[in-house]
Amino acid sequence: MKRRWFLYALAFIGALVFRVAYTGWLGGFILAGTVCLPLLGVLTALPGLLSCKLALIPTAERGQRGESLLWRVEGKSALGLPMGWVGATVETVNELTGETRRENKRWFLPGKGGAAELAAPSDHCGLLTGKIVRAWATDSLGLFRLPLRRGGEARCWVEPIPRVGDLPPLPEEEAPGVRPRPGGGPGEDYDPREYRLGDPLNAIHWKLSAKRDALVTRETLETVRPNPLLTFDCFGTPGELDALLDLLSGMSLALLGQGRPHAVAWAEPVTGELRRFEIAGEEDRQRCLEAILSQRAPGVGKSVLDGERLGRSLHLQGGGAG
Amino acid sequence: MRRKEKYPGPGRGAIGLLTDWALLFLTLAAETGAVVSVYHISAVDRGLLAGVAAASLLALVLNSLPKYKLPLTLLALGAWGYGLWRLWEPVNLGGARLWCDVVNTLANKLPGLVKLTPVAQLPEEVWLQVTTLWLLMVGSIFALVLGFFLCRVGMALPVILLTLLPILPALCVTEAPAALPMGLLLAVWGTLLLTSLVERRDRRGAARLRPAALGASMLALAVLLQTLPTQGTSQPVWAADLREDAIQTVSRMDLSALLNGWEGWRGSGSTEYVSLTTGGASRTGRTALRVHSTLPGKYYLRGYSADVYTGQRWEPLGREARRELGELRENGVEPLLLAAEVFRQITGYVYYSDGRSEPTYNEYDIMTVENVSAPGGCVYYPYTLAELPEGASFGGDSHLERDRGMWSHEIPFYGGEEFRWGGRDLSKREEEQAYREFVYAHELQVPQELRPVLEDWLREVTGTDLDIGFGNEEEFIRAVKGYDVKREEAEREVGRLERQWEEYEASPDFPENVYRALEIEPETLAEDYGVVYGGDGEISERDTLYSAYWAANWAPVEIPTQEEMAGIQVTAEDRELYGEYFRSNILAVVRYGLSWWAEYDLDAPAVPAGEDYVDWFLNHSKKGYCMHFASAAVLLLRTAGIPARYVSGYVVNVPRTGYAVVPDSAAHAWVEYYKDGVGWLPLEVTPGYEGDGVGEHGPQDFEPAASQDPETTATPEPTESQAALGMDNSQPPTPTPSQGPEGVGPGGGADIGPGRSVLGAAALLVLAFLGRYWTIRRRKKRLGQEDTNAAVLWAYRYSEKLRAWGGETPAELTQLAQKARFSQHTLTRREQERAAERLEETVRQVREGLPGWKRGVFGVYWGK
Repeated sequence: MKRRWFLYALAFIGALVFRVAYTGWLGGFILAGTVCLPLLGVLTALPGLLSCKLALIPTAERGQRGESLLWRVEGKSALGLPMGWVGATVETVNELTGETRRENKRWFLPGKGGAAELAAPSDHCGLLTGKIVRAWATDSLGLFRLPLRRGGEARCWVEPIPRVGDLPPLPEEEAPGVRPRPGGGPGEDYDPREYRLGDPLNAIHWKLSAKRDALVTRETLETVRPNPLLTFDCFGTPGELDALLDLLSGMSLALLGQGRPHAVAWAEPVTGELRRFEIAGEEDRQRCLEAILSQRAPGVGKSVLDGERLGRSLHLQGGGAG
Repeated sequence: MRRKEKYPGPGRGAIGLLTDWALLFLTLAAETGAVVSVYHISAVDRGLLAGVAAASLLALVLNSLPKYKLPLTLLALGAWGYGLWRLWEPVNLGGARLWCDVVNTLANKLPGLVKLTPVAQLPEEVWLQVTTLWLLMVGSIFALVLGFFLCRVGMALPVILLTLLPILPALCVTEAPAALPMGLLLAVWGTLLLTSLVERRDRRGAARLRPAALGASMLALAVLLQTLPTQGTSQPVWAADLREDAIQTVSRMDLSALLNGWEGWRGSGSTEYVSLTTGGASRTGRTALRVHSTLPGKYYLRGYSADVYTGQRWEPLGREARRELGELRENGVEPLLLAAEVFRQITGYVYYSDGRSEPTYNEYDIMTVENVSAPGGCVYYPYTLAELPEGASFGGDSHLERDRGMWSHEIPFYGGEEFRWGGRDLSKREEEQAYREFVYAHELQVPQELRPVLEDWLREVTGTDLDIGFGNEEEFIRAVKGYDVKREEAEREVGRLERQWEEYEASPDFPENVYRALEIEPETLAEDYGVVYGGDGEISERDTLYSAYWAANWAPVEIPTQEEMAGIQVTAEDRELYGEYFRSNILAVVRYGLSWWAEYDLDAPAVPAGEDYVDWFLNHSKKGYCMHFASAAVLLLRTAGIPARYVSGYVVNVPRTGYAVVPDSAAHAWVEYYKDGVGWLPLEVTPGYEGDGVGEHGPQDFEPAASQDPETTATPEPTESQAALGMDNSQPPTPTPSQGPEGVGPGGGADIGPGRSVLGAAALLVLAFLGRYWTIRRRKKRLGQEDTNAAVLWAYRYSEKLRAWGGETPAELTQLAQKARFSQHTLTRREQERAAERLEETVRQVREGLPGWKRGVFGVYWGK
């Protein structure tokens, strides 16, 4: 644009000099034409401007932290007119960390349409919300930037990189519980109890029944391992959060890999409201992650440990489990 | 392998083809119309239009074909060549006719060009046909080239340049094409510029944009055609002022140092700005004017007059003064009055006039003045214009403006011997009064520091010549009043003697005791009055008394002493009474004083730098030619309160044949002074230019060298000057006009203020900065380009160019360049960087070796 202005300034000075040096009518004509030229440039560009809208689209809906994530800014004139040089400023907000970043891009938009790609900030986990805050196209001479219509917001998930490692001993593994196995069946562990109608005869503990003079049934027990509960505090610096979420994601994946449903709980950092997600599969995990990534995590907030007792749980911290 | 085509071709669909053809046709049609109209070419319009349509179609097809472009183009060219071979004779004739039209158009504006006429005598219809044929033949090739750039390359600039080129010579001599074709051409240019941004990147899209751009351009064209004047000269005040400022600025530049080596650059004559520092007049002998006159004789052909003296040059009045003058003319001041038309003759003496009458002449003569190479845009005309000649207009009150293309003027003028006084009373006219005030306000300017010098000169010359020295009006009035006092004393003495004589005659003692009665000692009578004693040794009393009376009556009046004059008060009434008297006498003092004060020397050296021109002439060199004498006279007259101005032109003596060739060596300068109620009067102040009055035949044909002979210096008799001082009161002094403002310093009349100078300097600085920025950017780009070999070669060439500034190409850079040029290997980035470093070192060394100002120029030019 500077170059174009420079050339136009040269042309204008030339016309001015010609006007001054040349006393005939043509001098005025050329000077007036030179003055009108930018106006004509705007007029000529208007149909294209009015029939074009820039839209923001993520190249991928989700990606892991550190991966190359791109916004794609697309535009096309409905009349098929070339737009010349267009530009857009895309503002990206990380909903988790609150970080905001703006990126500018300038490209040539031909009549058949075209797109430009801008890097989305994927250095921290979170939900990226992008929108075009400024869009312009030059006039036909390339002298002025004229506003273009803009599309709505776009979203893109930056997920943590699961830190996969050995699972630490979970509390319930150290002291697993037992419970009667539904349907009974063979088993090494059992509890005697009074006979209830319907109990199979082979479950009656005859020796003990004789001793007590009442029918006693062997109730087969099974080891019960309750769903592990993973807790964490959803606040801290973006780096801390990244590490925490990496760990959480890794553990969750590992648990799922072992076929163990589990729960994830945390306290909403501002209100302290408990949020709990039961995770039985990948979909649940995604849902839980999206919930985490789309909420704002301040530097300091309320801890899940400060609220109601959740029983035995594994509290995760950025450096590991506590 | 498929070769990549440099120019991908249109690929822009039907819309693209259509818009291409429309644009091509419009461009060709507009261009043809512009050329035909600007050079006044006669051609068959319909034939031209049809040919243009066909040529544009052909060019479109040849440039838009997806395949076989080259063979088909060659085929078309072959057909064109065959056609040219067959039609060579008419095409050649058409070319000759067209060439004549072009040259004749230019000759209208350029005096050096001679108009041409085709040798062949053909009917006009045939000329029309052959001219049309030539235009079509050339136009078809032009269409092909145009089509290449328009349809295939899609570049606006080559098309603009191509279409500008044929009409450029005409534009340079301020000829303009007809409004419609020129407007269409501008619309095409506008369309190309409006689509230039997308043309190279999106041909198909540009094809869609072109109709909109063309429509917008045509709309703008229609509006401009409706709102702006489309013929003749049209320049607003601001543009005219700027133009004038630019011309003044260029005129102020003293390029003599640069142009001294080129003898032919400067012809002597009259110019608006007169440089006094460039040495003597040019005497190349080149013909400046050709003059035909119905009345032979010596003529002063007036060019420009100049009003502002700066010490080194004469300049015209500033812009404000010129505006004031324009208002005067709007208010009815007669242009002829401004143009010093009253007296037909350069005078060697002063006309005494009561200012209430003007000369009227019985009939006028005609002088044809043809400007061959005389400088300036003025008409050189003799005094006493009868009326404004055709092809000229009044350029303020300083000159007659020559109309463009008019190089010869028939000038009616009053050249007859007989004229009579009477008629109009100019002095009572309000307009004349207004102009007189203007003149007194602007034509009395003398540099302040020069005024004492000029007054001293006047004092010295009048003191030597008239016994009473006076440097200004006040001193003159004191002298005259002092002289009057002395004269009254003498008259009283005479009266006393007369009364005593009468008493003595009536006395009964007559003739006894005469000298006793008169109380005059006999010795005193003998010594002072030359009384003759009687024959017997006794004084004859009768003779003695008689002698005493008459001696007293005829005794010269004593000159008042400086002390006596210092005590005399000068009142406003005195100024009114003696002012005009003083001015009428000072003319003679200046003219004759200069002629014996300084020697005429055509080879007088130039004034040293920094010295005032007139001061140097009057007080140091005392040698000079017409420019010196005229400059000094103007300032001396102004010092004495007489409005005066510097005039330049030519002196010509028209022989009996009525025809004279005026060489540039006949250039001359003289003075015009303003006489109230009359106007501007010419005054010759250069010694050796007297004689040969107008209307008289000179003793020999005009020889400028002879008439400029310094040996013929005329020195007037002091008594004549004394007579001019004239204690004769027979002519009543006329009222003195109000005195103009005091003179201003050098350049006081300049109207280019410091603001504009600063603005100009700032603009130059900006340009220098931009140039430097562009150069640096270009160098970085070239040195850092992807192609390392090209970058190194560029660095080498760049370094070689520095030889002109004293730079030496480093050996390493030479080796690298050789490697880049001849080796099959591609140079590495490191080698590219090394080459750039060597180049930077060379540039730095060159810069450090330059003197200060050159370093600045080098910095701008080389971006260092």
